Amino acid sequence: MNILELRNLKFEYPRESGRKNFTLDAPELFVEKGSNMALFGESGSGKSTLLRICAGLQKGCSGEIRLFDSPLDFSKSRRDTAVLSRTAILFQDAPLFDCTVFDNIAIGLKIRKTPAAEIDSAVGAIMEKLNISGLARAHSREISGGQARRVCLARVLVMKPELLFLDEPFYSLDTNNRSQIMHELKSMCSELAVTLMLVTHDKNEALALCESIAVIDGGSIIRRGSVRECFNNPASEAEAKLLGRSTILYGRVVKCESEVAEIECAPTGGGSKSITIQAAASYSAGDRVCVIINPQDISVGLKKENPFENDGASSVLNNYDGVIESGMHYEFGMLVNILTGSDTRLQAYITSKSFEKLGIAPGLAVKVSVKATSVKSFPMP
Amino acid sequence: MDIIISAIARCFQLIINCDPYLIDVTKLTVALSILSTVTSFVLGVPAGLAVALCEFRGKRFFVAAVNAGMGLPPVVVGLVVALLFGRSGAFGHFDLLYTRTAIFISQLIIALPVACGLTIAACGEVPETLKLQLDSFGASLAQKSFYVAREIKKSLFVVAMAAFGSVVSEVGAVMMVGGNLLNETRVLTTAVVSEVRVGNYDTALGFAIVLLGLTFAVNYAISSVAPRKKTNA
Repeated sequence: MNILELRNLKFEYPRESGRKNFTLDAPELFVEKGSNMALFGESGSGKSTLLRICAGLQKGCSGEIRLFDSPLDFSKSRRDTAVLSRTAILFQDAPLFDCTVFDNIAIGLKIRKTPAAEIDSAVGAIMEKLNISGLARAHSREISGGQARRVCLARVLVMKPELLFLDEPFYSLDTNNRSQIMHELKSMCSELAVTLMLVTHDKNEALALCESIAVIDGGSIIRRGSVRECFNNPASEAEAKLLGRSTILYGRVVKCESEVAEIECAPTGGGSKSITIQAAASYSAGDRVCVIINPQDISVGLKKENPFENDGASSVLNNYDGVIESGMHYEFGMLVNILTGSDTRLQAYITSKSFEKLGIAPGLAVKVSVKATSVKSFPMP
Repeated sequence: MDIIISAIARCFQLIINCDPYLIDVTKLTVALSILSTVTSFVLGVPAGLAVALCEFRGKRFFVAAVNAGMGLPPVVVGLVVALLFGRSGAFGHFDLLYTRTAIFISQLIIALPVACGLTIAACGEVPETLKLQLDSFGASLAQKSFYVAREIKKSLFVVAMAAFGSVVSEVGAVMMVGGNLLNETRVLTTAVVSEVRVGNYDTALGFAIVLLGLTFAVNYAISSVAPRKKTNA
C-alpha cells in the first residue's frame, strides 16, 4: 500500500528567492508503507525541496500529491492538518527551542492540545527509548550535539507519525553518534511502524536505513529502485557521477562480436593513448558510448600474480598493466588510484587484507582486471 | 562649570524638597511614557510577529514602511496629529488638542513602528527551520507567534527599551500637540525647554538630570528582569 503518491509534480522557486532558474520535476514517485525511501542527490539538486513539498510545507507547486490516499491541496492557505498530522519532519539543522529538553519534546503535543497527563507519559516513554531520560529538566543549551539530535528525533517521534520525513538528519554529527543514532532510529521506526523518507547524499545512510531510493539530479528524478540495485548498477552517466567513485570513460565502439563490444575510450590520465575496453553489450561499430566501471568490480594483482591472467585463457577480457598512484583508507579497506599504461586512471576497492598482502604502495606495478559483464555502458547522443 | 554644580545642587534641592512642580511633571512624564510604551508594545509586538510569520502580497512594502516609520521625525508626527485633532481637522470634534490624550496619541504613533519594526527584525533571527517545525506540527498563527515570541524574548526587552526611549525623550511632537501647559501637559522634556526659555538654566539642567535618571532607571529595571544568556554545553 502506498502512503505517499506523487504525480506530475512541478515546482519553481519564486523570482525573489534567488533560485529562479531551478525547476523541480517529479513525474512519479511512490512510497510504500514500511519501505523506507532515500531521496539521494547532490546539494542543490532539489531533494530537500521535494521533501518539503511532500510534507506540505512548500507552496506554489502543481501536480498531484496523495498522502494516505487523500489529496494534498496546495491552494489552501493553511496546511491540511488532518492528513499531515500523520506525518512529521526533522530538518537538517533543526535547532532546539530555548527551553528545557522536556518542553522541546512536548511542543508538538502541546500544539495539538494533547492532555497534560498524556504528554507526560508520551514524552517520558520516548525519552527512555532514546536514552535521554536524565536530560528532561536540562536546558536545551546545556546538552551536547549528539544529545540535541536525539532530542530533535524524540520531538518528531513523540508525535507518532506514520511517515517521517528526514532532511539530512545526521548532518554535523561525528561518526560514533551518527551510527548510534542511525541504529536507534532504525529500531524505533520498525517498533513504531514508521516509514521514513530520507534526504541524504551519503550512500551509507541510504544503505543503512532505506530499502528504496530516488536519485535526483538537477531537479529531476533520474532513477528509482532498490537502494542496492541503484548503487551497484548505475543506469546512466549522470547517476554514476552522482553515486561517485566510479570510473567514467567516453569512447566509440570499434566492433561488436558475440554480444561483446570493443570500445576505444579516450584516456583520463592526460596522455594521448586510448584504452580499449570490452563490455558485454550490443552496439554497432561507430556508436558513441559512455563506459562505467565500479571500483568494486576491478581486481588488482601483482604483475606476475594476477589470478585472472593465464596466458589469455581467462574469462576476464579486460586486463591492463598499471602503476599505483595513491590510496585512501575507507571503512572496510582502501580505494586505490591506478594509472594504466594507456594513460587512463582507474579506481579500485581492495580490502585491507589484500592491501597488506600485495604490499600496495605508490609506484607499485600492478595488473588490473575487469570482467566484460561488469562493465556498464550507455549509448551517448 | 559653575552652572553644572549649581544644576546638580538645584536638582537635589528639588528632589529632597519634593518640589510639587518637579513631582507633577515627572509623574506625568512617567505615566504618559509608560502608557504609550505598554500600548505600543501590546499592539506592535503581535503585529510584528504576524507580519514576520505570515506571507502576504505587499509584505515587503509593508515592512519597508514600518522601518521608515521607525525614523519618523517627531515634529512631523506632531504636525500631523495637530492638523488632525485641530479645530478644523478630521477629528477636531473630539477636542483633544493640547490634552494628555493628544500627547499619548503622538507618542504612540512614534513608538508603534519601533515596537513593530524591531519585532519583525528579531523574528528574522529565528532559524527558518524552527518556524517550519512549528508549521509541521500544525501550529496556528497564534501558537506560532507564542513560540517564536518565546524564542525572541530577549529581543522583546530591547523592543520595550527602544520604545520607551523613543517616547520619553520626545519633545517636538509633545510640544506641538500638548501645548506645554503647566500642570496639564508639561512633561520633563518640555519643562527643560520652558526653563531654558526663561533663562533658568540650573532648573532646566536639574530637570534634564531627572530625565536622564528616569531613563536609566527604567532601562535598568527592564534589563534586570530580562533573561540572561547561559553558556552552551
